[in-house]
Amino acid sequence: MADGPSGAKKCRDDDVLFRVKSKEDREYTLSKKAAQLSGTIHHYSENYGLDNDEAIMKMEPMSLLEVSSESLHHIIRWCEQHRNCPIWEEEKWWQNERDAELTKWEDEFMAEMTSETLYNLFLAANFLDIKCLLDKCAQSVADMIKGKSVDEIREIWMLENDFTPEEEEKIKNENPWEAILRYQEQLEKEKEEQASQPAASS
Amino acid sequence: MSDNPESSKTQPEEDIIDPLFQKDFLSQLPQEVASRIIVYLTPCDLTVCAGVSRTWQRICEDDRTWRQKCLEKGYVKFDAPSFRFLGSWATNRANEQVGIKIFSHMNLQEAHQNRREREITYGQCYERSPWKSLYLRKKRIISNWLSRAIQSSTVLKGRGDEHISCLQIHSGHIIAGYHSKTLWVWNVDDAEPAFTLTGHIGMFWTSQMSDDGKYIVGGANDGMVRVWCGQTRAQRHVLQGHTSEVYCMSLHGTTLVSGSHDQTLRVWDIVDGKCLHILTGHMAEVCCVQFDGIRVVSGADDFTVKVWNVHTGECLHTLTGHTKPVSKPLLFEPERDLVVSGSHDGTLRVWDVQRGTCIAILLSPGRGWGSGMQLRGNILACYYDSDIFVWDIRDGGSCIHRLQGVNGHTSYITSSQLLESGLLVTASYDGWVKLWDVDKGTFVRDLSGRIVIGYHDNTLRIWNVDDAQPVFTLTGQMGVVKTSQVSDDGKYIVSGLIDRTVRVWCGQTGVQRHVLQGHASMVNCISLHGTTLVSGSYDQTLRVWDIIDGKCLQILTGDLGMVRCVQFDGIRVVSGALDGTVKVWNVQTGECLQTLTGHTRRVDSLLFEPERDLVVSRSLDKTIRVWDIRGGTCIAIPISGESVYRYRHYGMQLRGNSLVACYTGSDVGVWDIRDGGSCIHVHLQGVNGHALNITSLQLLDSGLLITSSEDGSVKLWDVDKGIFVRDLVRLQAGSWISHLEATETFLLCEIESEPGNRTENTELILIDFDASYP
Repeated sequence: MADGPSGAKKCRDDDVLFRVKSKEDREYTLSKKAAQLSGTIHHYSENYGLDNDEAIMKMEPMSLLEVSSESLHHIIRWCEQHRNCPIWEEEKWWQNERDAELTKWEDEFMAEMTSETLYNLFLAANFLDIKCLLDKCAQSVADMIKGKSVDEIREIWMLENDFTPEEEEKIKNENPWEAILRYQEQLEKEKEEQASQPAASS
Repeated sequence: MSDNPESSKTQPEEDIIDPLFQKDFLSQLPQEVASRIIVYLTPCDLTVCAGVSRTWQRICEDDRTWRQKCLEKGYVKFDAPSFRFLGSWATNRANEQVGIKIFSHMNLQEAHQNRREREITYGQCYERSPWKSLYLRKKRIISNWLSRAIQSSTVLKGRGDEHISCLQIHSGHIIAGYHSKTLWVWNVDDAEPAFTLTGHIGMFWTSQMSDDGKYIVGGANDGMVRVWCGQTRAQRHVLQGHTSEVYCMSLHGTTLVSGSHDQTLRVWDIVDGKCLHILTGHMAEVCCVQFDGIRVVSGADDFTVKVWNVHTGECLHTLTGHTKPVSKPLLFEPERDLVVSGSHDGTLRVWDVQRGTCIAILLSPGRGWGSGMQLRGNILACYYDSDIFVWDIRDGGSCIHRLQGVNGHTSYITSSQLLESGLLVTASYDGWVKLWDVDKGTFVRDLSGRIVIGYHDNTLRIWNVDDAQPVFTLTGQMGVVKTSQVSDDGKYIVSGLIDRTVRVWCGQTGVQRHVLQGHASMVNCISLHGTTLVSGSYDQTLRVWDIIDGKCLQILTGDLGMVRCVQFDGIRVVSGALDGTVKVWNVQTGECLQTLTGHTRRVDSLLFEPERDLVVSRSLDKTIRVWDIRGGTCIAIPISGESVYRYRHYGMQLRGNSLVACYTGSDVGVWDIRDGGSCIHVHLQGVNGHALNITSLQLLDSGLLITSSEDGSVKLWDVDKGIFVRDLVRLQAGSWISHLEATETFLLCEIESEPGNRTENTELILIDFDASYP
């Protein structure tokens, strides 16, 4: 299995393996620690008494009917990479400091994703309830949107403008950033005009 | 067509943006997943996204997300904008007043157009997401401050011929105290006066209110002692018996002891109006008395101090030693059997009234002592003129400090005021005006220095912010207003007075509700939280009051010092004292939680940020100290070096970790309170700086700093960037801005001609920076 980037630690030696099965009925394994990152698996193991190594070793693969093989592969890569991380603080997200190396790995991981795989990964992360991956996916999508104009967004995501012209006008007026920009442009213009005329101010 | 996304990722996102296969994440993902995405968008991006399609609008106007965005910025809900084109707003533009220059003022037509936009106070955006609309409005207001033309301004018509002792904007009202015992109130909506509060003035030597607020007693120069009902103000009794002026009184419970120039003391029951005892023995006029419920201590012109048993009427001790008449302040500390008496012989004597012996003689610099004498532990502080003397009464009484010089105290605080945003302004006889934030429970800044005169003009005026007209003027048989505040809901106006009382008025009608009595010396400072008020006095106590029923809930005392300033968050009280100590109290138990020592001179102002357990104190010792009140440690001392302090009570404000304070004449410093208080921007100065002393400053939540100066200008700064933004107001030569008040949406300037000229007019100008809800 092409596991993680070259820098990834050999992570499975010291841990028992948790067995999971994708939508396509392919079986995968991941370390117990990595598996615990998923809220869904965590619940499952609590309910099925998989709280000790012996039970896990004897377990039947857990069926993840909503997760494709491709997504599951990526998820396992993510989880193994993050298995030694402190618990992801969802409420106090600012406390989730990550070291630079891991952040770099995460960015490379996300960069590999196509829109389609990212979408599926996002859904899978949601289904498996992996908070740190969910937030990373959200951030990646947000990064795509950031700094774009309405028209650019519509073009990229092929979205239809279903506002009436009146509504559109109102929405434009709501935007204070645009209003400020307009005002500043106007000021600049006035200044230029003033500068071009012979100065006669006190 | 992808411009560079704002991302520092190693691999640019363009790689994965392929129009043909782009998934519409926001619309197709489950809503809870989509809301995870928009958390990472900036408000600006969110606003853009809301314009993409109806679905995106629904998702991007999630009110909880916008609430989070508002809270991150510290934006909290505030009043809907009012039109402000009525009353004085319609015609009266401050710009047209001679000598007042407001920069880039809109013309009347433009302003009307702008105001019309506000007629739809709640736009559709408000219905979809109130928090978003709040955010956008705040953003607009900030841009109004920063760059846009000033829409409207007005001059408030009040008593231009008199000096204002205190001023505030609060819940649509502007309140100003004048020196003629009146309080004026204006409505902001039409900048017109709403009402004026006045009352009758008696010629009483002495007056007091019972602790329960039920009785008010007054001793007059006609020999009568009058008892009123504290609630209805109806006269209950006229206690007759003294054959000469009643000069001093002391009330304990419902037992009153009065001292008279007829050389006697009388003990009264004020409930039934009966005289219980006549204490005779003094050979001359009785001029001071103290009473603890059992023992009476009196000082007289016969040079003696006598101790009496109030139940038997027997004289227990006659303390002799003074060589001239005993003068009015007399301290009695029953717990330690200590009495301190002052005399025209130029000494203070400390007595053990149990044994009847003199334990210390403190030599004073002159005759005639002020009323500021106070004992705290073994430290005795006393005024003489404008100097303060500090003594240790042990080992015969050695003088520890003489507080004087250029930074020294010059006079009492005279008045105060509270603003809509919870700002409290206090004014002083020495011309110093300060501003407080009562919502956060913090000191905000010092406002100005003015020449304030007229001990007999004790008023507060209130203007209405919405029409810029005076609303009412508050007075009522009271001493000079030292400090005042309006409750958050605008229902109550509370003032601390030099006559030792705290007065509570109805904020709507201006009717006096309560006169809170109990303090034995002037009330220097108050802090209101909800309907609980804490007042601090030179009598070394803090009192906690319920302003609804006028009851004293708690008396905080013990080693407190003469209280200069107080802050209250509803649970904890922080007090700053004349001796430089800062104390933290639990208001429920009355217990002192912390004593913060470090300042070497009096503490003049406090900031209190309860959420972070932070207190910032500013002292006459030229330092500001930042305290962690949980640990009781000083975490930063941001100011060092010389300070000019022409204006004694310069302001300071804390916003996040940035502390802003004035530290020399025309400089403003910005410090980071972390790592011991390093200086971020030393001078907000330069070519655009003020030419003369800064009189007041105010820091807004948005990081904007507004300063006013003797040079007649009001300037706007960006504290985060440390840069000058623009000029807001300039006056013609000869006028100056003696102080300013600013809320997020208003700027209120007090303009005076010629510093120090008592007869010139005081003008108030009000400038509106509000914006409509989008």
